[in-house]
Amino acid sequence: MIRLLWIDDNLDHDLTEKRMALLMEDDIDSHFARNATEAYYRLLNDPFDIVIFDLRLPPGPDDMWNDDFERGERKFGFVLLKTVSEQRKNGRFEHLTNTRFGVFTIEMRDENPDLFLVPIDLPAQNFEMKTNAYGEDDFINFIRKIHRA
Amino acid sequence: MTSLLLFQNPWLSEQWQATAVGIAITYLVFIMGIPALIFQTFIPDSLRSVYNEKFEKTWWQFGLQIILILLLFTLSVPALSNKASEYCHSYSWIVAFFIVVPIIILTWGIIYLKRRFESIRNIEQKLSIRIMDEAIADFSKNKTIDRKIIENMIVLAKELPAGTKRNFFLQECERLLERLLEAPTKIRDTKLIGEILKDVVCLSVTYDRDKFNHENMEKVMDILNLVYHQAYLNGGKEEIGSTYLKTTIANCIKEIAVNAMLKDDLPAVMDAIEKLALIESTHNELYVLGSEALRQDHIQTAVTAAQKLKGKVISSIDKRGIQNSNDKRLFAVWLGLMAKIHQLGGSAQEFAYRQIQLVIEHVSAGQTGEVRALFADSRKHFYQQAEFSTIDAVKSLEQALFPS
Repeated sequence: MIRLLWIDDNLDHDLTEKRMALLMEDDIDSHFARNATEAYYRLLNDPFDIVIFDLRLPPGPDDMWNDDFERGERKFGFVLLKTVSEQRKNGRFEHLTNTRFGVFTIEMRDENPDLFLVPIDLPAQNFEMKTNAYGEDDFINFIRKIHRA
Repeated sequence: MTSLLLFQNPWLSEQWQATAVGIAITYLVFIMGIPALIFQTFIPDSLRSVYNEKFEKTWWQFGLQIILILLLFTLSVPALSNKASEYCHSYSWIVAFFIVVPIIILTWGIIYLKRRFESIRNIEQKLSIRIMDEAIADFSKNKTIDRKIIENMIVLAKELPAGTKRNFFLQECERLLERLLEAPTKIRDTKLIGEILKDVVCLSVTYDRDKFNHENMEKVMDILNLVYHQAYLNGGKEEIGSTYLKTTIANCIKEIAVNAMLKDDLPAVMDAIEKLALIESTHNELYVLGSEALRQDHIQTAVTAAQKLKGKVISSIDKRGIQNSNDKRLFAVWLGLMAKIHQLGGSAQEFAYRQIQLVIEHVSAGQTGEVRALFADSRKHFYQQAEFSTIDAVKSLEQALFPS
């Protein structure tokens, strides 16, 4: 069973079909979070095999993002991914040592060169761009591809 | 000097005196009346009384203006003004009085009117900030919050208009809850936090179903989720598991989800199911939501609840196998919900059948006796709840799985 956390603020809007398709998969135990705070606490407490991030994510209610917000940061998915990657290296997220991270976003790969550098160091194949043509099967295959890699 | 020439006698004519008094009274009625009328028309009764308690300290101004007008009125009565003239050697003092006092009243009135309008503007936000500040101050001082302050919060939770204004109030509630959660463990009042969550935060979206708003619901969910996680982190897994805070949060989420379902806000229900599944021992709430969704023909929602229950079943089996009564109850309600989906027939039946086969293989590696015992436990659970239709559904599922 693949334990998946998908973090995206559009889960209730244009991604409902993908969300439902994931829930219908027999071998994927899907979990969802809508903002950076919710996702951070879930990652802090629960183990996952795969975590999929949206980059343009709202911060959510916790004050921990206030400094980034005041600096003008709006891509809290990126901030979260960076924070977790850094803290994972420092041993905070020990239960996520083998967790694979993926990015599923409306932005292009070239717009986010930092994703592929330390500390995030995202493998190129773990990045996928949201487009209208990207169907439910494609998304599930993307998750399986990350899991197999 | 020009004004003095207007008067025929050493004293003001009666006509002029009456006009001055009349203008002052009319103006006073206008400046007091218009804001009061607006206040009365647009602000609900209960909010008005909280506002008056917290902000309305202007009656002394009204009183002083009345006294000035009464003085003018008194002096405009001929008998009294003649008497006054005996004590006043210069009539210009009396004339000046009749000119200056109405000017004071007019100027004062304009300032009063402006301030009054400003104070009525954004009254909801002002009240939210004031009440939460009071609550935080009271908690810092007395380590508790006075019941009167909580009652004011309840009034705001019920009466504020849905949307942005209510979200602002919820934001303030979040500020208060963060302060309560920051308190050291030995003085942290879990019961108080639970009370605010249930009686204020949750109530703000469940009190009036007609005012149900998705934006407000999302905010409430965020707050419940934040409190759960912060209590979980600060207090440890065991504390949250044993306190009533966890149950309060779960009940709030369930109640919100039921309201959202009745308003056909299915994304909100899905979100509620996701949050509920995070909390330990919430299988019963998930079952209730799944059953309610089936009753209202929201199949996707029911399937989501069933899959979340399946996730819990598999994770508890992986941890220790089905051993204690909590695990058995979890399995029983999941089976009950799957049996209801199975009853829908067609593809739903196939889906339910496949899911059960998957879990059964996981539970007992296919040992029929063990699985049938779990079916019996499930029937017993629903018998104790007098859910006879679910017992029948479980029975027919069992017969489909084990035809002999």
